[in-house]
Order: sequence, then C-alpha cells, then structure tokens
Amino acid sequence: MLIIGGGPGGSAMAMFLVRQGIKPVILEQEEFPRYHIGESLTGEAGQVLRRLGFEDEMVKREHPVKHGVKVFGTSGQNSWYIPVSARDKEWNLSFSTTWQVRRSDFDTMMLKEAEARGATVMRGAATKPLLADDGAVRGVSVRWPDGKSEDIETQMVLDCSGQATFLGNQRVTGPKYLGNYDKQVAFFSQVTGAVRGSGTSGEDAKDNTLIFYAKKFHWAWFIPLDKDIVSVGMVTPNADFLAKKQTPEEFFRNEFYNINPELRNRVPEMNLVEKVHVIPNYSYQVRGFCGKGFICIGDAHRFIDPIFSFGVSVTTREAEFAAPLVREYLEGSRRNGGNPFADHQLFCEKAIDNLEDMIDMFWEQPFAFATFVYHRYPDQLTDAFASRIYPTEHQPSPAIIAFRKLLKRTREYDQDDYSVPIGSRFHPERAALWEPNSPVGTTEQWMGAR
Amino acid sequence: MMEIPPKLKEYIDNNRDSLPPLTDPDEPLQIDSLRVVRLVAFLENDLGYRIEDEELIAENFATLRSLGELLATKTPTASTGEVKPTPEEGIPTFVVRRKGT
Repeated sequence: MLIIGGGPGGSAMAMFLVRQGIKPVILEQEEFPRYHIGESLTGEAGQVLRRLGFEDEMVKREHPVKHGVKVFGTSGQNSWYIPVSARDKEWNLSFSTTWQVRRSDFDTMMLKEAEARGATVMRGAATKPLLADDGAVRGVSVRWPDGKSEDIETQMVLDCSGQATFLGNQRVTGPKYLGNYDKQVAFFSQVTGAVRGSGTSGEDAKDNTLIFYAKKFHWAWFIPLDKDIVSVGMVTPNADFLAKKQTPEEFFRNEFYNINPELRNRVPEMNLVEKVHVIPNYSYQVRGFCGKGFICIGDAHRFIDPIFSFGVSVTTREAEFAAPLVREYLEGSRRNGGNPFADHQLFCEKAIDNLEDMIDMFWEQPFAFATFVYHRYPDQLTDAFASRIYPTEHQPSPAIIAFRKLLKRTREYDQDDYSVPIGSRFHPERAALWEPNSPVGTTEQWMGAR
Repeated sequence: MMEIPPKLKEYIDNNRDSLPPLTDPDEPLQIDSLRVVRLVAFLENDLGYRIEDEELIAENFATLRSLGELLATKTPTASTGEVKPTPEEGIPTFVVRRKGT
C-alpha cells in the first residue's frame, strides 16, 4: 500500500489504514518541516483530529483555538459571525471549537505520528505510475534523493499529492478540468503585533479567523498561528498585480490595507516575519479520480477556492471514508470489473458539489448568501461551514437546494467520469483541454500559456 | 410607490449610523450591506412580509422607492411571534436550535 504525499491527507490516510490493519508506505519528496499554506481547520476537521486521538496533543502544543469565523463587511463597521458547530449522533447542533495550525508544525506532527503508529515514511518523488494490462495501477516509479530511480510494486496507490495532482497529471484518471476560478492570486505572510479578539469564547474569541470582504474576488484573511504570530493574506485578481509592476512584497505591503478599513485596526504595523508567498489560485476537478488500484484524496482531485478553509478538512475526511474501502479491496471484494470505488467517488463528488454551489453563491450573490447564512438557513449553513457536506449528513440541505435554484443550476449524477463539470461550464473553451488530441498537454501548460 | 410603514422607516433611519432621517424616496439608504441582511430579517420576522429568494438583490434595497415597490406586491401576514435573538454587536447571530426547542 503506497500513499503519495505526507501532508495531512497522506498522514490521516495512513493512520486510518493502520486502524484497518494495513501498514502503508508514505512517499514524501520534501524534508519536513516545510512551509505550507492552509492554516485554518473547520469544525469537522477538528472532529477528525479528535477521532484520531490528537486532542490532548493539540492542546499541549497550544494551537490557537478557533471558535468561529468573523466576516467583516465592506465598510469594516459590521460583521457577521459563523460559529464552529458540531452535531451529535441524533443530529443535535451545538457550539464547538477547532484549531488554527502552523502547517509546518502540524504536518510534521501528523507525519511523525503516522510513522509511530505503523506507517513507513520514505523520502522520494513519484515520477510515473506503473500500469497493469487492464489499466489498474500496480505501482509507481520513484526517484530517491540520491538521484537513483526504482520501480515500486504495490496493491494500491493512494494519491495524496495535493495540488500536484500526480495521477491526474499522469492521466491515469479521467480528464482534469479547470473550474470557475482562475484569475485570482493569493499573497500571504505572517506578522507580529496583530490585534486579535478580546474575548475567550464566541464571536470575540482571541484566536478566531477573521475574513475581510472587499468586493468580488478581493478579500483578506487573518489567522492566528501561535501566541505571537498571525497569518495574513489577501486575494486579488491577477490583473491588478500585473498592472502595478511591483514585487510581490511591495504589492502586498501597498495593497493589503486597501482591502478593508478594519485591517488598519487589526494589523497596526506590517511586521513581516515570513517572506511574502504568492500562489496563483485556480480551481480544477479531476474526473474519474478513483479506479482499479487507486484513489485520489483531497486536493489531488479537486480544488475550488480557499475562502472557507476546507482543504485539510476535505482531505482528512476523504481519507477516513476511504480507509475501510481500501481494506475491502485488499481483501478481494470490490473486484467485479468496474470501478471498485465508484460509490466513494460519487459520494465525494456530491459533497464537493455542495461546497462548490456554496462558494459560487458567496461570490456571485453575496447579499442573498449573507441573508441565507444569517437569517434563512443558519443551522444548515453552520453545517456546511463545518464541512458537513456529505450525502450522509443531510446534504444537499434546503440551503444548498435554494442556492442551486438561485444559480439556475441542476446537478445530475450519471456516473459519467468524462462529462464536463459545472465549474468548467462557465468557461467552455477549457472543456476540450484534456480531450484526445488536445494541442495543450496539461492544465498547467494551459495556465502558463495564457 | 406604496406608503412605507412607519415602523420600517424608523428601523431604516435608526440603522444609518449618524446620518439624518431619510426624506427623499430616491436617496440611497446608505446602510451597510450586512445591515441590509438584518433589514430582511426585520421585514420577515417583525412586519410579516415574505421576501422571495430571487428578490434578495441589492437593487431592491437601494432606496425607499425601490423598497416600496418591492413591498407593494406583497401582503404582510400577521407576525408569527417567532422569537429570534436580537442581532446586536457582540452576540452570536446564529440560532443554534436544540432538540425540543
């Protein structure tokens, strides 16, 4: 059993597999700790960590406790608050908490613990999949740090490679389509001396996430990482950055405060303690991301938009869902010829579709979105914000169904791995990207060629 | 344009920060976008209007005239008396309902 990638998805996958009696190998090309963005966890990500037995360790390490997300409106004068919530077995709703994490520390903790629980961690990069005659994945070629290459045979490959989308780019999966969002860039760093909430719980809890909304595709975040340092970042259209002809740091320093008046109060001085990182943010969806001998987890098959901090949540939840299915597959079931994991694939796809409808609604119709969150469907949308988005979690909820009605969107599921997803329908010119004989090899080439 | 109910006019005037009461039906309401959301809740919970999802666009809530035109198509029902927490600063605005309540 081989897991590609030692981020939170790969580590969680390994730990859930160990619980199924399977001891996997994790292949990770980078030396940990390493920097990574994606520092806020949703309510259900907190619950996954609790189920994995990490609560005491998270408390001991003093990861900031997140009670909710406070969103500041354009003027900075008003805000709304989305509490972190939990559901019990009877689906009773209650307030809960989750954590903010410095990813270099958190990811290292997860990987070390996966190793302590029985996984084997190896430094190396997967370069190419090995396929059986029937197309099943039977291993990967690996390049070790000394430059030597080796073929590794395995019963299954679990692709937790994140946005590298290893199996997607190697075309083991179905096509990789671009989604709705591709013109934004995120600039981010870390600061000291930021002003947090003054309370200990609820809306003004000191370590909550703050989101500052400016206008469509312009926003900023504020995520406490420890008692001194806060992760700050902003998202703007790429065109704004290109037009200014500044370095990323100059642009970040100059534009950050223009996002929202409240930022001056929250970040009185721009004391950067980390370089300014830049990531072009584009959404994509890999079709057919499960098959004989492989499952792609989390960002390895789909990424939409970072606004609601779903990354770690989705990848760890998918790992938890996939683990028992992997055991069944290794035991010889799920081998009747078709996609052994078609049910899992549809289950995950439906969940992220719910999320996509929510995010599209946030950007396209912010007023209606806010009214739904605040007034129409507060309970159902706290569920969604907590990443309770799966079909077993009363989804799609009336809120998501109402979103679809306003977006004039229907979702049909015909088990077709190759139809163009909703996100790409906004940009039909991209749909052909992965079709046979496309002049463009990969999504990344296409992005670069523009 | 229909007559704006006095309670609604009062609510809007009270939510314009330090601006004076509105006198011109075409003057922008100038209430923060998040307060417009609270206005929708006020219309539905306190005044008994039902605003359709498709009507939740900023243009309908831009001026007293546009608001009056929106409400002119509607008949308010008696307030249901449903008690929701008053959305004030510092209080979580979400209703977290528990079983049996």
